[in-house]
Amino acid sequence: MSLRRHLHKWYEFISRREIFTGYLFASPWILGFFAFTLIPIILSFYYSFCRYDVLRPPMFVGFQNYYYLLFKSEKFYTSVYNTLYFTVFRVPLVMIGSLLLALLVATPRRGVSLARTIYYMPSIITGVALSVIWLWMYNPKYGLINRALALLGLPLPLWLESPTWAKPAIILMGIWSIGGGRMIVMIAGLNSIPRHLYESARVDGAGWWSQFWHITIPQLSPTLFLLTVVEVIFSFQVFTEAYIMTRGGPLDSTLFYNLELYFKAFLDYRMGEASALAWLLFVGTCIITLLMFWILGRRVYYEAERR
Amino acid sequence: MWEYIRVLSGRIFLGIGILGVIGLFVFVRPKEDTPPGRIVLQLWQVTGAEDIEPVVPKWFNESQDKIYVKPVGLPFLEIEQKFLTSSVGNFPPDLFEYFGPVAQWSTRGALLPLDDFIERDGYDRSAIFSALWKEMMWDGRTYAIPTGVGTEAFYWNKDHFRKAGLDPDRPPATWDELEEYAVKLTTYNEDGSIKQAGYIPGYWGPFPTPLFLTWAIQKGAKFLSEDGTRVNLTAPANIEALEWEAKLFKKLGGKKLIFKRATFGYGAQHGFLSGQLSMIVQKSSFVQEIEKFAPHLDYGVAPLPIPRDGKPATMAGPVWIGIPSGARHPEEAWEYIKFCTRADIQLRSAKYVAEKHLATFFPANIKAATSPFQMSLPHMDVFVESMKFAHTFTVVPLAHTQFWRAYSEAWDSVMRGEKTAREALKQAELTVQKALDEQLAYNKFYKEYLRKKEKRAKAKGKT
Repeated sequence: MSLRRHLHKWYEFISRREIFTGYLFASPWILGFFAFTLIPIILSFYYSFCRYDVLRPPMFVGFQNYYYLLFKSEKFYTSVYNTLYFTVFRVPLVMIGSLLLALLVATPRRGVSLARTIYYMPSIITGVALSVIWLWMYNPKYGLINRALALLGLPLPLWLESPTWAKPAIILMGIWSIGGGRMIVMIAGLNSIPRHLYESARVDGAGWWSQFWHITIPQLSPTLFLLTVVEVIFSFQVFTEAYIMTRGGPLDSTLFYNLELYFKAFLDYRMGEASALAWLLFVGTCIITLLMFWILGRRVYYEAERR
Repeated sequence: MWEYIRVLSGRIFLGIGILGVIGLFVFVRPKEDTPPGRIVLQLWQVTGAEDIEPVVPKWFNESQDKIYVKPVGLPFLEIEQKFLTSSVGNFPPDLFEYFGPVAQWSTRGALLPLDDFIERDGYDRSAIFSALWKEMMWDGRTYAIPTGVGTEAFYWNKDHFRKAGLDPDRPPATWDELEEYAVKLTTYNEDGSIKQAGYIPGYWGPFPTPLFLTWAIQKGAKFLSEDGTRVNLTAPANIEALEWEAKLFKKLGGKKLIFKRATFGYGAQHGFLSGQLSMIVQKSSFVQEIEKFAPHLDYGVAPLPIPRDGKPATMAGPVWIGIPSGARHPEEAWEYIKFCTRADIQLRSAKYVAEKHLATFFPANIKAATSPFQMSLPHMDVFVESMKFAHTFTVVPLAHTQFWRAYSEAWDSVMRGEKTAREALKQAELTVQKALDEQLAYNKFYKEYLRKKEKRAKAKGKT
């Protein structure tokens, strides 16, 4: 076969497979994924067995980083405890809050889109700006919250300056993120529940509670489950609020996992330990997600499934 | 027909647009402000809150025609990471001017030792405040040259002193007096909360970050053994100083004091600037902050009070300039360093900054700092005087950040009464010691690595 025919065959092979064109178009992203995501992930796994401060070459130390974190470091367990505490309280707060809001604005009636917009709005402000706003709200003397408490004659907590109140203060900030994207997904879920289910339930004499408990919740369970899993994963990564407002203080009461990781990596430049922390977080997240699939996933009702 | 013209004209416009954009790239090049035939050096420095024009490079560029220094201003929050990345990528700037701990970079081989230059050119070390050199050194070598400095002093509100029946021109000279005055100056609201705090131990600014080693140093504390291998935080001097502070904290209100502190904020809401705090230890540039946010405040500046059995001390933070390890033109960079640390240039830049009312520049050069002009600036005499007994911040060079974090946490837990001074310091000592041990091992590994690399390079050179 001549070269020309070879080329021709090759050309035909390629042009027949649209997938190649697809990859070609996706190549900027694929290259980026390899260069900026996959390779760093693999390297961080290697670094987690090293002592490494970026400027000097990594020094292999075996399992020392993991051993230290798991068996010798108080800070590690403090940060794990704080993060779990945060997750356990924040996820229900945000999920139940968002569900209530979604129920409120799900049914189409006059002015409902305005209400939806208003409830969505707070979630536009996030991160640093949000933290600075709440920093002012938590000011023990001039802050909005303590002013209100003072009017009611209640005791005034120190909020961010108190080891007991700092964590609840950061959890309460979750009120701000009720609504937002979560609410939108829930509204979509609510509106896709077939009307006839409610109708027949009403005919059978079901009140609003049994309608909610026996129709809405099961029908919405795939949505709720997905949102909960995502919310838990995001809660494990809490960082900005504590970084801006408390820097992990008072007495490590808001030292969350990612904050500790950040301090190790970018304050102390102990990339080895920080990488080990990151991998432990990854493993922990995987385990908890699997547990959630195992425990909660069974209770999720899917329409198409045979029961 | 019309349809055809519409489409065509659309295409023509598109074509003109594309050509125009290409033309912009081809013909309108960014203005090159570097003169040809000169070696261009990049100088990285922190951009201030006020936009101070970096004049020293300008003067340097005017003074000769071989080297051109191009200043690049970077925000404080980014400069460390940018410098780190550029160093790792082996394409660092030619000059690096910064005020963080030198040890962060010198111990990790990111800066070039300047001793050869210093010796060759007979650079006069004694022209610069001697207290600052310790910060520049690591392992017997010099890695940077101080250009400016900030130091600490004791500030007090004279109005508050008058109201409390104290002599407004006599600040507390001893710890006992500070304690006595602080109690007298504290006033309370009807509900028992603090209205005006006399003194809040460790309060500096919006973030409760105690940077005070001064009290312990006054008592004679050393934080590291001579050979640099053992951390020592539990010496009597350390414990006594912290115990005294904790006692004072409790005496002045404890929890109430924390509440008061938490109500303070940024800028004009600063405790001292808002007139709700009578005495504070602050940096030398705090004078400008008072001028900016509370111009009518009647205040005085003095050296810190000292304990009965102690000696005067203060902390000084130098601004320094160094040459990164991978820099392409160290020789030319050194020329600039020599230029910018000269007495006349430092004085000129101090004058320039003062004239523009931007801030005060506190030169590291003694001759410039003690010049009649500089001494005529408000309270400068106190700061210059205090340089005689100044100490720099980096006390454990190999584990600086860990030291600060552990020490601050120990401090906080003692102030809150969670732990005794001894317990807290013991725990901090263990943490820092562990970090130091690891760093020492890493350092050894690094030295070995460098030795091997050199050997390999030599072997390669032979063949």
